[in-house]
Amino acid sequence: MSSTSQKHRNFVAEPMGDKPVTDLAGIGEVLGKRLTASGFDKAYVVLGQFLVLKKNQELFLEWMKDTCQANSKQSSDCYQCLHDWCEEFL
Amino acid sequence: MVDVESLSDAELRTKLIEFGYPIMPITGTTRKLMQKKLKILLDNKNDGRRSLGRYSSEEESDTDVSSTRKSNRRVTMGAPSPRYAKQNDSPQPQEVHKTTRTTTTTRKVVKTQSQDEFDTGSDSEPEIIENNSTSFSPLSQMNFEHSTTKYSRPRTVTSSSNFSNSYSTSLSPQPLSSSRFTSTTNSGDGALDRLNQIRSRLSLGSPTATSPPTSSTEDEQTPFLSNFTRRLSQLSNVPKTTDYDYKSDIIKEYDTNGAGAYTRTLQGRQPRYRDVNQSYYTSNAGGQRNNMISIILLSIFCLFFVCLGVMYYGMRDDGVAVSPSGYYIPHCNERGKDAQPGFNCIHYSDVDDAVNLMHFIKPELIKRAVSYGCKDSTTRPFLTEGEVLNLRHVKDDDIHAIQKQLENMEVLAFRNPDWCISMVPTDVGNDLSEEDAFRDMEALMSYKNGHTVGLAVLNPDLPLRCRFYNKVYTIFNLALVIFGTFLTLYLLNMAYKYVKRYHKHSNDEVYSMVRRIVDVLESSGDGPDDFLVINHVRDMILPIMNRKSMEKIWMKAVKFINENESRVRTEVQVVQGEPFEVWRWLGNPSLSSSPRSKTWQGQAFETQVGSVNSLPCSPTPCLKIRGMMDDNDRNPQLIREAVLGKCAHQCRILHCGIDDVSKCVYLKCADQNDAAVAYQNLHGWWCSGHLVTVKYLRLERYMQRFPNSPVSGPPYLKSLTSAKDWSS
Repeated sequence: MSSTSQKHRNFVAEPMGDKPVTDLAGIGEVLGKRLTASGFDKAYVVLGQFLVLKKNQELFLEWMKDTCQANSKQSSDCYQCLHDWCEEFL
Repeated sequence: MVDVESLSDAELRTKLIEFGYPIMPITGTTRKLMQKKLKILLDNKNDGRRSLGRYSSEEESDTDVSSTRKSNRRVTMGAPSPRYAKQNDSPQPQEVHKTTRTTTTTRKVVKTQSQDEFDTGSDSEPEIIENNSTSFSPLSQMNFEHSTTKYSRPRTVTSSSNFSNSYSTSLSPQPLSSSRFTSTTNSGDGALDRLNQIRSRLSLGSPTATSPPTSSTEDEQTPFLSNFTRRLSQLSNVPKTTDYDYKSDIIKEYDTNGAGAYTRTLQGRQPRYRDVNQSYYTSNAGGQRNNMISIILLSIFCLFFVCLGVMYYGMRDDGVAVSPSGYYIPHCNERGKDAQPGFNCIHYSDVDDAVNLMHFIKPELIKRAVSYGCKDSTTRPFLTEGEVLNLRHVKDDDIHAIQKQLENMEVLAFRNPDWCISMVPTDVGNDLSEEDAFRDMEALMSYKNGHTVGLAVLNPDLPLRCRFYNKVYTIFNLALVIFGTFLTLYLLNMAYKYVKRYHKHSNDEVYSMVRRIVDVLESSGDGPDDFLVINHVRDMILPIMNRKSMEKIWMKAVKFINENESRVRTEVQVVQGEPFEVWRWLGNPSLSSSPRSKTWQGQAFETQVGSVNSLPCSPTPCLKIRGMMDDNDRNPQLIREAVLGKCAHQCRILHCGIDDVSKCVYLKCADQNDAAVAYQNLHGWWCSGHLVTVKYLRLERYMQRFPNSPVSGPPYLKSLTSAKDWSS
């Protein structure tokens, strides 16, 4: 990871609270809509999935791809974001 | 193998654990993922086994490979029939005709291919027929057959089998899940039956027709009987059973699990062959679109550079060539009142003359500039106005007209910078630059009064060779300058180092000289008049021949001693009636008067009985003596000897202990009287520059400190030295 996006830093900076799923790094409007449609409307729901997958990167990326057709950049951004958040707050 | 989709959560988990995958919670959201994972793991497992088989069969013949593969497929397989039947609706007849016509190799490949179709077709054939029925025309199928045979011929037998295999997989554009497949076969079962019958009627002749030659050729290639028989049984299966497809369909229904597993293996293998698949489509069906695009890109790329080159040369040409028209000519009529012909404008009638003059002198100017720039820098790079006049005068003898033409031309030259003619002062030397040239007519005019103006082409287009020489010359000059700079730096560095070394050397010499002088003075310092005449010292140290050459060092050494040597005093003494500068050796008092041995130097104060410094009677037989030990004294024997030598002759001493830590000497006498004698002998005496003080010590303390000390005599300690009267 050479540098992280502003969105990533914003997300990792504080507890996620009730943030919508679009606040995750790598999740834009489109992916957010898809995730919401499949029930993942809040960032903490995605975090739950992330944790259920035991923070396994490979599986999480795969899941992202399945659920919202995220590309590898988006899903790894999201993974990194959640991973860093967990490092910080979990 | 089991169907991954139908596994329960627990089964899925155990399966994954079997593969050594970490346990994951299987939930609604993760289930799909885990199934995928398991599929991949299963595929990998099968893949590994397959590749192993392929390696081992590499040296065997093609048929061997296909037959061995077939053998385990046969049992598990069953799916292909619907596809095969359907496909036969359109392309299969063509294919059959094709096979009968082509050579044995072709036939063989086709055969293996068709066998592979039997095996692997379970993937996707129904879909192909749905999607590709239009695009996959009999003609294209024909083409494909051609390409297959072409490909297979130059390759090894194994590779051809691979290729056919790849073909069969390439028929499936996207992997189909086995469940889907099953459903299609089931739903279309009734229709398939009919289709199978039609197909069997249509293709009945073809396998029978092809099988004899194929078997004969393969017979030659496979000497292994077992393989041969296995293959033969397959072959016989194909032609004999008219309702073969129907049968296999039934087998398939019985063996769903195996078919599913096999399908998965093929799906896993598909990516590996996808590129072959792609190239096949592009070369045959899709045309050469990809190639075209790359060629177009390449040609555009080339065209761009060609255009660039053309433009560049065009620009250069424009700069060099002077087009006859398009000069900027300031006509006098346009300027009105402030028009000054020959200064800021010219008349219509004079334009041609001026331009002619320009054309006349420009070659000459260029010639001069080139010869100045290339051959001979002594020639002048410019023509003076006088020279211009002379040149022109040969043809036209009206000197004033020429003068006027020249002025007009100068005006035009200022106005038309693309003529590249500049007016320069002649008295700044030959090395002209743009800065030297006059900017406008006024400067030129003011300079003209009393000076000669030259015309020059400042930036001539030099020949290539000349430019090359100039460049080389410049580079050489630059290199020379750089080299010179480095050389200078190097020399400076060397010089600095040399100076430093020289200083160090001379300093060393001075110091060694000083040391020798001090040695001489020290050795001669014991005499009654312990001084030496300076010149004598020099004569003692320096040999005769060196005196002149070493004089400088000697002077420095003398100066050094006068300034920095405290042990030597310079004074003037009369020696044999003559005053001389002498050095007197003062020596080192601390060194000279520091006897290492402990000696008693005298009494500081009275300690006889009755004096204020001693007690009237001694309370204990033990004494503590301070001041006998220095900080650096490491020889307790010496101190002990000194103490005993002082008092042991007058009293009886039982024990003498020395404590390094408290720097005290402890003395134990036979009784109080002896202690009093010892006290009087030691207390208040100087010992080696120290004042010795003695105190009485309680016996218990003494015994505490020295538990092993004897309690009573007779063995009394005696001094080694003879008794000496210290009182004097």
